[in-house]
Parts: sequence; C-alpha cells; structure tokens
Amino acid sequence: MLHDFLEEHRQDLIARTEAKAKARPGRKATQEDVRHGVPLFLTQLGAALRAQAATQTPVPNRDISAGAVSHGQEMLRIGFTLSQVVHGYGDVCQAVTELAGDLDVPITVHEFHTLNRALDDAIADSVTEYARQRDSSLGFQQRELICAAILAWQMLTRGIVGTGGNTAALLTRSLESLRKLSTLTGDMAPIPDPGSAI
Amino acid sequence: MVVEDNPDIREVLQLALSDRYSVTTACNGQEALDLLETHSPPDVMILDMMMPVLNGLEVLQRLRKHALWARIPVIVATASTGLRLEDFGTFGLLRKPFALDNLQRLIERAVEHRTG
Repeated sequence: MLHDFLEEHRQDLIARTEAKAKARPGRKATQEDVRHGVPLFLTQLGAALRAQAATQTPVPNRDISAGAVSHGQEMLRIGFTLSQVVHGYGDVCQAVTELAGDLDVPITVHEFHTLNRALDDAIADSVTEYARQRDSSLGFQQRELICAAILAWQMLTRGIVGTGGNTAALLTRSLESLRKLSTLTGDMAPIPDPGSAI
Repeated sequence: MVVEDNPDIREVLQLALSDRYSVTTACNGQEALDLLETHSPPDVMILDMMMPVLNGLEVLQRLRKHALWARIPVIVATASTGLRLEDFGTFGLLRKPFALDNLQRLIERAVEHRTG
C-alpha cells in the first residue's frame, strides 16, 4: 500500500525532494526550509491514503489544507517565489512516483487519485495564502509610502519647509520607492521616475 | 509623542508638528515606554501599530494598565486594515495615508480633552 511505502521510505523521499529543489534555479532551499513543508505533507498524505483505503472513497483532508496555508506563509516569509511553492509540491510527487518505480512498488489508480487530489488541494491552498499575504504586505508598504509622500508634499506646498531640503528629498525617496513597488505589482499603474517627473 | 518605526513618516511628523508643539519621538513601542519612564507623560501620543520590538497594541495594553499613562489620549495612525481598537479606548484612529489637517485637528481635540 502506498501509505506504508511513504512511511517506510520517508527519509529517502525527503532527501530526493530536497535534491530536486536544490537543482532548480533561484534561491536554494536549505535543509531547514525543505524539512518544514515536505515531512508534514508526507504525513498528511499518508493519513489521506489510509483513510481512502479504509473507506474506498476519496476523503477530504482538512489537515492538508491547514498545512498548506502555513507552508504558503512560511515560503513567503523566507523569500521563496510563487513558482518555487508550486514546484516544491511537484517535487514531492516526482520523488514518490520515481522511488516507487525504482523499487517496483505498484501504485493503484485509487492511490494515484488520492495523491493527485492531495497535491491539487495543497498547491491551491498554499498558493492562495502566499498571494494573499504578499498582496497584503505590498498594500501595507504602499500605504506607508503614500502617507510619507502626502505629508511631505503638504509641508512643501504650504511653505512649512523649503523645496531644497530634507523633506523634498524624502518626497523623492518615497516616490522612488513607490515606483519600485509598482514594478512588483502588475495591477498598479506604473509611476514615472521621480527624478524626471519633478 | 510620535511613536513610529517608519523613519520618513516619523521625521515629517516631527517637523510638521514642532512649530506648535514640543515633539518627542520613539521608533518602537519599547522606546516609547522607556521615554515615558523618564519623562512627564505627553499631552497626546500618535501611535503606529505595526512596529518591531513592541507593537502598538502592546503599548496600548501597557498604557491602560498604568496609573499615570492610562489618561494619555492616543491617536492611532496605522496602515493596517481590519484592526479593532474599540477595546483600548483610543482617542482617534487615522488610516494611512492621512492628511496633515486631519492629524492636526485630532491633536487639537486631544490636547483640549487632556487639559480641559
């Protein structure tokens, strides 16, 4: 049974997943990074497979969703890209099917369905959470920068401070940061270079 | 007292308010509490929420438990959304970005409230 296989070869599966993540371009996963998400997912996948074997029907697994949400948050916090989040789950799937193939361990159609469903759920939940947190963080930064820019602008236009001093530099800096931020968020109108616009 | 971790906002608020008020600044909640320990309580505190070391909510909780500090009118200035501040008895809430006029009006009312 696939759930026994996952338990028996857990360390090998984790090592294979880690090797696949490291082979990919971009920020390299540390042992700590990989061990955070993969072992938990393998445990939850094993539970889903066990439940499916007992009932012979796909069982919705809320633990997988909760684990994937935490994983999405964690991946954003430590600086991984959205692509790495998705590929990370793909690595687990490949590690499982490759090792099963190497050892001639059969995977039934039902087990494969459960594996695919677990991966779909995990990817959907982790990606959704990653994007939600990222957008929230970018929105926060935007509001802070706009606030600094508005206050500086009001000081300048009311003549509270001169146009050649620190406040003017602060306004330029805020607009420059907003411009950089706008290049990160595709849904924001591009802000011109403050050096050329003012 | 302006408690704000964003150095640009802190600087511009200090500059904007210093023609009418004596302004002290702190870059996080802990620094604000340290200043309160050694100085007279301010007439009004402008408090950011998301700050390192000690955040705004923790500052509010500490203020409310303190005999002297509990009466300081606090104007929360935050870029966070969805915060519920009703339980902390804040004097006012400004969502960033805000205009200088709105802040100045709130400060005037807070100072009147404090001295009245």
